[in-house]
Amino acid sequence: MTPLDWIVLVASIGLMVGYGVYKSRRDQTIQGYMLADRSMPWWAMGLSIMATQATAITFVGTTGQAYMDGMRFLQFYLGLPLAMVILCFTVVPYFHRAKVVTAYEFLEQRFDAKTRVAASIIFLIQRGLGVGLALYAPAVVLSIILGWSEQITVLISAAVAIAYTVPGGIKAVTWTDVQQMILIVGGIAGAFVTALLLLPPEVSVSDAFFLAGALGKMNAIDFSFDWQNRYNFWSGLIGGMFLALAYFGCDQSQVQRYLTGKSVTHSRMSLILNAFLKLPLQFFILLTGVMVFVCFLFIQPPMLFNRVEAHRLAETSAANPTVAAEYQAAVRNYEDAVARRRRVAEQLVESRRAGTEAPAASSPRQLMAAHQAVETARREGIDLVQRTNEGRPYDDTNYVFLTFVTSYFPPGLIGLIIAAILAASAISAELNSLATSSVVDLYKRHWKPDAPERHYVSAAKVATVFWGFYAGVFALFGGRLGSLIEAVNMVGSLFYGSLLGVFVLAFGFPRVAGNAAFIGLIVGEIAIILTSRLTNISYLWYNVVGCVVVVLAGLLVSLAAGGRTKPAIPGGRA
Amino acid sequence: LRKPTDSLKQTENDAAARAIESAMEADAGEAPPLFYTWPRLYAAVLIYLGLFVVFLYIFTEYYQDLR
Repeated sequence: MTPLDWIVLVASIGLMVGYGVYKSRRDQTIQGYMLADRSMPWWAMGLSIMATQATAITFVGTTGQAYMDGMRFLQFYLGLPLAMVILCFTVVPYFHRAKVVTAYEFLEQRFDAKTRVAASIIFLIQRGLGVGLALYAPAVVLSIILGWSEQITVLISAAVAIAYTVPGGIKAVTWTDVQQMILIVGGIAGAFVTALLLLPPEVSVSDAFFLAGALGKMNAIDFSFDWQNRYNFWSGLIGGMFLALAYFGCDQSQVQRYLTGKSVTHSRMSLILNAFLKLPLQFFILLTGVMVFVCFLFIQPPMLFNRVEAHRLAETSAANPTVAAEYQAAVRNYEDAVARRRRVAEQLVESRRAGTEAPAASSPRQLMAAHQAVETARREGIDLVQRTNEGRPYDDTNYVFLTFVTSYFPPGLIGLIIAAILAASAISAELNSLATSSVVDLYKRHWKPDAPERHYVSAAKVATVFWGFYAGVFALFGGRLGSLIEAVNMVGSLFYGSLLGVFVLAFGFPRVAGNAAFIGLIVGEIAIILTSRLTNISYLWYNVVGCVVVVLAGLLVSLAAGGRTKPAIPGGRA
Repeated sequence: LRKPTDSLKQTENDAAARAIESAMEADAGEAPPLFYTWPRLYAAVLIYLGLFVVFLYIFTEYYQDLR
């Protein structure tokens, strides 16, 4: 990074954090610190909700995912608009009018204290793990820029996130998210344009799309049904809808956002904004990752995108002649394969532009074969890294985009992109929601119910520090989980289905009482764990399995116990 | 026999739920800033999703055919 990048980076982060803290300087009550006194406009909430999911992980993970796997990850979001509509006319008005601070507080109003505690604990466990992954993303960024090990950069990232979240509260989080969202869209647009500008003059945008298509990267939708296929239309629409219902309807980090709205209309509109913008935004981000891939067809990509590991391997080979021979052979094979792939790509573009049939040596099929040879050669390098590092798994999906940014972006823009990533508002929002649930659902409810408001705000700040450290510890394992964007959603899917099920029981089945809901919740969670352990079903379906099992188990227990005699929620089915 | 605490809890729930329902009825009159009514806005979201899926299908098929 140049001095200009550092100036842009420090100034951007300083301005964002300072503005957020300034906006929340008088929040000394639970309503102020945790719900912004229910004063936020819908567009700010909507952008904040989007920013929570679209920060460091989006930059680092989604673009890397597109580089490796093409556009098919987009199908993951197909169920989101459906979920937004369902939530708008179900849980949003209930939560809003019940004046709850957490989603789980509502469960106590509807069922009992133990169901609230169980749901809250499930949320704390899964979100705590998720926030660890979110924290790992900025740590990767720092690792690339500074060349330090991930362990050190994880600790630095945790410290920065804690320092920023503790004084701020939800208002600071929301307002910085709005700025961050603007930075994110600007940064992705900058990356897209940069990737196009780096293409050789004879390769047009249309040619770039053609090459991506020839290499199977434009696979945005797949209607074939397969339980084990991670991303297809059906898993995205159905499994993705259940995941989005659970995420936006039962996860405190999201619920807390729209509870800050001025009215039910504002809260609903924040979700509708997501329904309209999320798909095109993700399409654009994935397309940017694909364009980075095309760019690397013409520019020599590194064999290993993780520079720290590449440096370690180079040092190991310098000290060990056997490793050195293998390393040099792997690099040579890789460079030869990349050069051949480039030649085939150039010939293919040339034939396309001339309107002639591509020669047999440069057909789309040959390009695919050349690309597979590159992947095989890269695999040799990756195997060598793992063998010389005590067999530890190596995955550099999350390093692809950052390597591109730091290698090819103009001075100043690098600093801006890194600022957008390091703003890390996602983790600040999540830390805030973890602290809120810990204090409101557990501490205030069961340990100290009658303390002054300031006491709970202080307790929330202490809880924020605790969850920051918890996330830091989990983040140390983040690098072993592959693509961050997949890992964070897989962790969520292990818990969201059962959480969603208990809320479905709450809203849809008035006869079901507390004990039945509690038993259903536990049985559902066990069912998800067994499904993940014993089957090869794609993780998006865990959300469906968990939800259905909770509802069925809850209904069975309720029937066995005799059920209730009157509907608990007027308007529900008696 | 139901315990007295059960019926008390249920009465509390019913009262809370009635309050929520009346609040929702009051909110129902508040129109969204787009498309005039909530059902129309929800329909717009669903139509938008359908059109987006069609776009993705055409996009995928077009580039698959070039291979």
